[in-house]
Amino acid sequence: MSSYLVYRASFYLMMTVAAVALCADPSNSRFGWLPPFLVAAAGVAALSTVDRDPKLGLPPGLAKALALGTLGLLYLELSLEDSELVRALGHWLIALQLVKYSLPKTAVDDWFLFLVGLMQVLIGSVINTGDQVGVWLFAWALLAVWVLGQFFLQREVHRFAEPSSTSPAAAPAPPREDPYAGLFDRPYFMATLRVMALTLALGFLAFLLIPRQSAMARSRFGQAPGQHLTGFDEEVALGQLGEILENETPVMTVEFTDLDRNPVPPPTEPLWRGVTLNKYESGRWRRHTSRALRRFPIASSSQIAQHNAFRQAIKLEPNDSPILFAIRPVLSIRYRGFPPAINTIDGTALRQGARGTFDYEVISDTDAGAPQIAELPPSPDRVEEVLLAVAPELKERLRRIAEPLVEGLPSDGPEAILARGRALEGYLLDPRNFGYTLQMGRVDSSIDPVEDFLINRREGHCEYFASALALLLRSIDIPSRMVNGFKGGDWNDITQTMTVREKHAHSWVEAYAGVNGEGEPIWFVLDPTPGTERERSIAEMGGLASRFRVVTDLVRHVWIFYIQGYNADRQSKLLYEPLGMLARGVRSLAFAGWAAIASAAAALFHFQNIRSLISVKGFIVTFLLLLALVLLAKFSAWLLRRALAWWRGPDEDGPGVTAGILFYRRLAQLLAEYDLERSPAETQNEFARRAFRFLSGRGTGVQDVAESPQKIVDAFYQVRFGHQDLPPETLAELERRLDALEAVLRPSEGS
Amino acid sequence: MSVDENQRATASRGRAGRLARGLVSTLVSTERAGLTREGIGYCAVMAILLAAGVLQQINLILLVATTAAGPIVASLFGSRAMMRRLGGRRRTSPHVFAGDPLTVDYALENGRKRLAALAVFVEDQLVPADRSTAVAALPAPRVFFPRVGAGDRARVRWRGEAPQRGKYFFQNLALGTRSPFGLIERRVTTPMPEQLIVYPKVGRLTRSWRQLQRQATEHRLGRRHDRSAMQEEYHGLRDYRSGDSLRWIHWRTSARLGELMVREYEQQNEQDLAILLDPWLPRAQVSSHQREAVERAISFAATVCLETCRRQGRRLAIGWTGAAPGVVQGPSSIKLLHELLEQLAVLRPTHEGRLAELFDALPAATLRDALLIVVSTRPLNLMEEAERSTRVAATSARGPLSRAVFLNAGRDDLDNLIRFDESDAARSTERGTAGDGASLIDDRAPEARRRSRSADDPDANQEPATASAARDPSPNGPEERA
Repeated sequence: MSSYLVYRASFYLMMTVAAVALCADPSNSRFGWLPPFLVAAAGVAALSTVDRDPKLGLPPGLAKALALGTLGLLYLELSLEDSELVRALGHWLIALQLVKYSLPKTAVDDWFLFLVGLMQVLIGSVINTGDQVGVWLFAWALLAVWVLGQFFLQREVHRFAEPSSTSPAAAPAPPREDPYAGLFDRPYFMATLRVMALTLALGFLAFLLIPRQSAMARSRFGQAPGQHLTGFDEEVALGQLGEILENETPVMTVEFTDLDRNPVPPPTEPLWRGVTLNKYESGRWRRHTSRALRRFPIASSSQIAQHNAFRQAIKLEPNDSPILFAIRPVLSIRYRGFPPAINTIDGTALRQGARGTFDYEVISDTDAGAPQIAELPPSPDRVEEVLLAVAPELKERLRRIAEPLVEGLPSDGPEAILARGRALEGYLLDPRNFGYTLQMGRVDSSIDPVEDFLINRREGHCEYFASALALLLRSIDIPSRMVNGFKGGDWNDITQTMTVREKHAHSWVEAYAGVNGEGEPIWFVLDPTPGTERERSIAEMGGLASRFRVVTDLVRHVWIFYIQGYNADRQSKLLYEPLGMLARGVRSLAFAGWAAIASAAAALFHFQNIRSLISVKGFIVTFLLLLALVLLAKFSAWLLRRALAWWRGPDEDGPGVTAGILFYRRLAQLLAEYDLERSPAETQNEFARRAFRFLSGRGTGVQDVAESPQKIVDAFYQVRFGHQDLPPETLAELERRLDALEAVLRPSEGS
Repeated sequence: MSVDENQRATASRGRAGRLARGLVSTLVSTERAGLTREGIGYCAVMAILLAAGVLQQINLILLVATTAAGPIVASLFGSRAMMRRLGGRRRTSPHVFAGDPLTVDYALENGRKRLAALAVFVEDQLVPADRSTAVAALPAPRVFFPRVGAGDRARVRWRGEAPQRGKYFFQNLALGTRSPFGLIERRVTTPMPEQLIVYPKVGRLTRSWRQLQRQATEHRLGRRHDRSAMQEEYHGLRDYRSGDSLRWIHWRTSARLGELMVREYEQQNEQDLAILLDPWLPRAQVSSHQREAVERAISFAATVCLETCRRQGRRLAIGWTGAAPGVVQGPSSIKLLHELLEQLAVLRPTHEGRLAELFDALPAATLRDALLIVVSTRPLNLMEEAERSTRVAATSARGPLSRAVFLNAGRDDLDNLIRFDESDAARSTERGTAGDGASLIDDRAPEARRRSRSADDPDANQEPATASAARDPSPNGPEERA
């Protein structure tokens, strides 16, 4: 395997991976796969043409024209999508790279291409914020280290080439014979792996150590539109949520801590409140168009301290919805940059823009029934026109279902509303009445889908259950609204984080029960979906991948929290606090140890007078002192020997070994092939005699050379112990004898 | 004594030498590492990325920047690991003629058990013993070892042109590598002093020189036309050389072999020869022509020494003027030849001294019998010089002067006597390629020379080149591997 071809192939593979990292975001465009494919194909073409024979490269004039033509491509892409300047520049780099591929390449050209690849990776890192870019970044880093090593080897050959054979400016032709023949052996791969591991480990360590700001964002250039989050639009068709209930894609990752940032377990079945849907019409829920957006109030620490609260550090994956998910009631939302907003009419939290990743921190009250800060009570008109709005015929038919269920229950006051709501919720939760399924379908399409669900089908997913409950509540004049969000998530015990995926999407109901004494609205949360069946359905998702979820979530956690979202808080928690604790511990231990040693020494070395030295204690002290002195001397001598050996280097046993010793080595190697080796207790002379006996018994051909070991050992003794130089005649004689011995012992090689 | 048997000035291997080397190595660091030009560029890009990441607080840029820092730090460890248990060695002839090819063999031994040595280079340093020699013109041997397997050894031959005559020293042998990424270069310098004497450039004596010699001899003995009168004895046959008399051609053998062969005669009782050099240069305003004249005179003397010492039986003396005139003389032999050539290699022009003082320094026998060839770079009146000489004047000035030939190198008197032509250079190249400069003047059988070299370097006989080295198409060429 030619090292040059391996280098070239590795180089093109690295460049392809860089292009993939640039185009890693699947939501980028429908043709996102095209640039990496082109880069890979161009690499194969270059490898089989111009890299084998520089004459097959493009004419320089044509290459320059093509390079200028790439500017036209850049203009074209920008005219189509002017908001994607950075990405377009990345694509332009790829186009330039393809032109360069078709030309003969010098070391400078390879450095240029390397830089182009680096730029692509950088652009990919800042514009693609999904998890995939991490995988490709890692792959590129590994390949880059490998390619750097191979590139170096090829450069060195060129550097030491005859000046006349290749001018510095000319692209070198591939060497006819591989200067690194036999390079790719096991030790080389092992050494390469070690260097790679060391390189990446050092790089990651440096990454962790570089000082960070407190609110490090994962990306500030992540302008790519994220994936579409079905069920969180302005209008949601009934059953639409079922599309994402079978999807494993992560939506967000959440860490739970108390107010002092100590990890706490997550609440049971947390409900991540998202969008509020108010108006229902013919199987479609719509958000109310009237908005009363205001900046989310910033609660002071003292205000927060009055509540029993906990924190949620949320890393939201890129999606196209401006909705911020949080456990209600929310006391505070912190984000680096423009603060989030709240719709005071329906309590929905919103962010500015809907692109890229979003890292924010939420403080929520543990009392789920507490009112939401900044949310206003609905006006009577709004209650009448929105929160109680149901088509009259449908309302009448639903009332006939609901009234028997709430018959006999009190009708006035918040508690009565809660009791009635619970009664209806209980009806829907009863497995004898309704079942949970993700299958879509209608039995009677002539009637409203909710009515069809309640009367005919009697099975569906959370959206049907929530819609049914909301409309049943409205049929008995209890204002209600449906909420789409997420319920629960995959908890990872190792990382102590919860990964919320699309399959955890959920719908539930909030029933309005008037205002409390402070004029704040009271909303009761009702969840009519059968929990057990839903959980079973979620658990069945994922298939084989779910078995490795602990590992994949761990990797994802590291990527999201310790690479993309690594900030000063995490740095302090990960490095500085443990280091500080360690330093304090060591310091206190050192003090304690020193104090103990000092007191022991004081007791040991304290003598009343000189005569008291003649005692058992005096003997012990003297013995210890002398022992310490001897050990110190031994250690110093050892250190000196090591230092001298280190400074002198391997010369003594290096190329300076003298002829007799080398002859003896050759003899030992020859005999070792016949398992004839000198034991440690055997002198060379004894070994030679043993070899003589061995060779004498191996037939007439071997007997002729049986005396050779003794002759060689004699010469070895002369050189090694006698410090004598061997005369040329003796050397020639020894060489002849060894040749004869080798010819006899290795007949196949000799012939 | 053959050239190869001459004592080399190698590193002392005694206890005191080892102790001294250890002490020097301890005090002076022999290992150093530094960024290469590519490494500096790499660091600059890395610094830009780092600054961008820190200023913009974007973790992924920081990740790329710090990952890029990994190879720099790993290079520090990697290059050190690559240099472990590597040993370099130099082997070269202790003498070479100026203008001849200078070949140096470098061996790299990898004492590691598993890991091959990759992309290791050896750089050598040749410094003049005389500080006045221009250092820039000196060759700087540098060879590259692409791969030396674990426990293996490879040799690469470096070829260059020998510098001007003089005494030089190979000093430190630097083993270096830029492994594993080419960003940091680490080199370990090993003191490995070795002397190299560059003899003066030699040419070929022409027929005029022989005629000049013959005339001088006839002047002493009277004209004799028959060869027997020359007291030459048939010795054998040899190849025809430029300048040989056509009468010497042995036509029958030439016809049989298809190339010209001549009879070789051994001169019996040839007259002793003394070359008296006067390498004079004015104290100031020295022209290049005058300098060239000095070098020409020394080259002529070296060539005469070389030709004369080819055969035994004749006494040869070299004397030179100067503040302290000196003479080296003895029966012609290889040993004497080396002594003379070494003396000529380090002979410096002078503006002091006169020929008369040199006459006084000459041995009496030389003054009495030898043919005196006076080579000077200034016009001289031999009669005046003889009169100034106390020893010549005390006897009879006519005696020595009747056997003296005066040649003025500054007046191009030497041009007819010596020739430096292309064929000489080509032949010199062949000689240099075949072995070392010593083979020029070593007339022994090839086998004897080989044995002699073996005695000097035991490795020559027993260390085969590695398989990889044999295949190596390195810039130095596969044929350069031993």
